[in-house]
Amino acid sequence: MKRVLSVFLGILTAIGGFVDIGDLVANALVGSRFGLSLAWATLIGVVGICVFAEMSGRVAAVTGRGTFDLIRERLGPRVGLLNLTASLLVTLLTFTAEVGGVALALELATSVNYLLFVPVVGLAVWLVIWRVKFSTLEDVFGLLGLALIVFGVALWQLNPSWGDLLHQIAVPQKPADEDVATYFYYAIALFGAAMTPYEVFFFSSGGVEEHWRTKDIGTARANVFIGFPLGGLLSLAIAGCAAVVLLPDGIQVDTLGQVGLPVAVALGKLALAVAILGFVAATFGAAIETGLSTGYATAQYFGWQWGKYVRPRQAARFHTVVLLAVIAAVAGVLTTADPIKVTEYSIVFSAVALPLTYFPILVVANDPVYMGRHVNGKLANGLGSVFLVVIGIAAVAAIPLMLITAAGQ
Amino acid sequence: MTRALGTIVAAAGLLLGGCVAPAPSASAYEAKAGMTADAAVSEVRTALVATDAYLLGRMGAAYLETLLVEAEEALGSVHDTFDSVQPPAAPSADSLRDTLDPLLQDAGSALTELRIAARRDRDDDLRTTADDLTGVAEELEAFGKQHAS
Repeated sequence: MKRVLSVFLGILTAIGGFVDIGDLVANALVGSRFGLSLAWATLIGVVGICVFAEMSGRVAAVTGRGTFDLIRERLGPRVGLLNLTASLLVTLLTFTAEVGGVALALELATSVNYLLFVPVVGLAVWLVIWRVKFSTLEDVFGLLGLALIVFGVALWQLNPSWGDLLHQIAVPQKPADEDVATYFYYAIALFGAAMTPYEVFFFSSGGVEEHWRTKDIGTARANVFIGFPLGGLLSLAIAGCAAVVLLPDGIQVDTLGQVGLPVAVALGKLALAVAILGFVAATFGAAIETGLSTGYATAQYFGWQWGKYVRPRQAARFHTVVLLAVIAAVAGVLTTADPIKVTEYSIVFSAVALPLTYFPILVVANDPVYMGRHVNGKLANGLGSVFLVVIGIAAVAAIPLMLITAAGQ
Repeated sequence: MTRALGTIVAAAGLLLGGCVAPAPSASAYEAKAGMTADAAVSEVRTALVATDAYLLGRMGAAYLETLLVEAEEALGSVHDTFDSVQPPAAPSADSLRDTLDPLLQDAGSALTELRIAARRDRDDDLRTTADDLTGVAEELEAFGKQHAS
């Protein structure tokens, strides 16, 4: 019974933890401009993250070691360093966007300018990373993130033409007033938002933090194969709400406040408060995950002691990297760069860095020396290879499409 | 030495001259005007939907205020960007500018009025200003459709 409850809790936290500022902004923005005609990009991204998160979780459970540690050992220090640099830059950009997202969510609740919250948010993120147990922070923010289910309820309450929405998903068509380049630019943005690299590092490092063994592979798979797709449904609900309420009025999402507007229209004040709680939980939880991921990646590459399962004194360099990342993220938001724009760029640059993240994971998960009898099967290899091609295309096309479309204007 | 310096200065002058954005063609200016109107509609409609939700008791004052401030700032930015574009020397461009600029001005003023009314908690003023703003939104929409690229 205890094991069943543990699996159930893991699935719930995987659902609640799936959505971050990138998913919130990208799905609402795309829903308000393209309806659900780009839902296919989210669906492909969700399958992709499931394939690689399962691999990285299995690697963590079998080897008991972090991803970057294995990448450096298996592919050499130079490739490892390239991988580390690209991943760190993208994760730091995402971290900045998440800190800005928390501050924007607090502004919605108080109407106090978000910049005043930024140092407080930075301090809170650092304190939680420093003081709170790994399992506690994962469970609390994952469960609070479930508040975003309110978008699903709002969509149901709005009583849209379900046939029309399903038709948009099943038979995607570019809206007449949008050009092809912009359509595919946002497809890559949605794909990048669903497959953000830090999610995989955090998932596998979390496995090591929680001392997964091979007997835990089933639990990890349940989290990934049930939790992530249900999290993906939340993303689609956010896009659906925007498609139903904002698109007909010609409202194009460029603020977090606009993301929550359909919830107010459909369900009123209390539900809007729940949505704001969901925004705070999703962005704060993701800020902790990205902050920790910068420390995980760096410490694993250099072979330092890392993790929250040891006392901070024993992992001083790991915590120093995390602290520096918090300072950098706070400073980044305080430049007054628009956090929503930072989010948009972070998910597109995520797409560019995807091959560097996922190729080494496929290599390690396919190596019997590390994995023994838990090495990739034909299905995992087949799907992994297909997704590497998709990821490669997205990575190559992202920057040219960004330039051609003036970042989706 | 002096000759070389002169060549460098001349080359730099040519390069910098090339970097200055020329006035767009009449069709490009029209497309820019259409996009500006669409962007303005997005901000104005956001304010109207939010105000409506607030008046129906579906949204708190803090959320409304934040949305209105953001819409006002975004519209100001859209207006400034349009005004910074050098219109081509053509009567049609002047006509476009003479039509769109007052609409953007009216929308900006109405958003300011909405924000003031929201902060003073004056529902009647919110309702009246929202009604006025609806008319401006419709004109902006019509302009955007007419000059869509």
